[in-house]
Amino acid sequence: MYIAMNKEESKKLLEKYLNAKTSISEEEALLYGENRPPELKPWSQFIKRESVKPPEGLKDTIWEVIEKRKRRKQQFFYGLSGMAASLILILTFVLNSKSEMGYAEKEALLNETLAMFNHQEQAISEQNIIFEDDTVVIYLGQE
Amino acid sequence: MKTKEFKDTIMPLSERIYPMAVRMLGNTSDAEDAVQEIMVKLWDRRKKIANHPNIPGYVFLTTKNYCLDILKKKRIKTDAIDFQLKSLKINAVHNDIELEELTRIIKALLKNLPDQQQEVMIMRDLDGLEFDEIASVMQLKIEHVRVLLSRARKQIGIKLRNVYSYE
Repeated sequence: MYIAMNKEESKKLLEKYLNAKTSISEEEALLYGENRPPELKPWSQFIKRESVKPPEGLKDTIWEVIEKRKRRKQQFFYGLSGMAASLILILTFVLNSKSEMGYAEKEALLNETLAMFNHQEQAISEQNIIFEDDTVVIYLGQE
Repeated sequence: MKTKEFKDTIMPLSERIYPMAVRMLGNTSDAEDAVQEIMVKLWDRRKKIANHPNIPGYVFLTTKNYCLDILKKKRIKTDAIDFQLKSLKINAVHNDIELEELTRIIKALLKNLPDQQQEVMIMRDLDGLEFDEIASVMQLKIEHVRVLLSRARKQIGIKLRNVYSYE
């Protein structure tokens, strides 16, 4: 449906059209309406013929593509989040097991204990045994 | 820009940029691919363009630049009227000899206009772009666009009057 107009209005609108002051709807009325100025006939026929119409469902097809991309991105993000969560779990486990007691710490402690035993053995050898049976050993020594 | 806003404001423009893509790329299948790519790019940039003062103008300009890039990659020279009127070849299966002749004449008249006038006239009269949209595509002020269009319409009008001798 185009804006209805008489010949006089049509003439005025043509002037406006030539001065590029018309709106799209005014131009449609002028080019395809009932009282189209005869000099605009070839131009309006040309426009009608040359107008390019988009294929049906173009918008929907494009939106489907965008939705697919959206889903792919979401899946990638979820995959990435899963991987990150797994990594955090593994790291937490490793760090926790380390905090119990490190290997070096355990070794140092063991060496310290061994050193104590060596010292005790040495101390025993320096003491004189004054009584010894199956159950009791009595030493005589100096502090 | 949220999904709904994108769907309401940007998606309908896909149908409006399609004619421009067809004219520039010269065939419908390349144009469909181009429009799809442009829309996907706009989707990725939706946060950036949300506050743009003239979104349709930006979309039309993006379309023009994208099509020019494709033509450059294909090493096709981008002569304004040649690519703008490629659809003439696409729609050339008409039996109406009179209309064929008319099309040939108008195409010749358009070719004789300065490049900017041709582009403005095609964008406005054939593809129905608003003045602010054309101004964005052409990187001109709206008043300048109006002047170019007015000159082109008057020129074509005078020449058509001479050809068809209307009273």
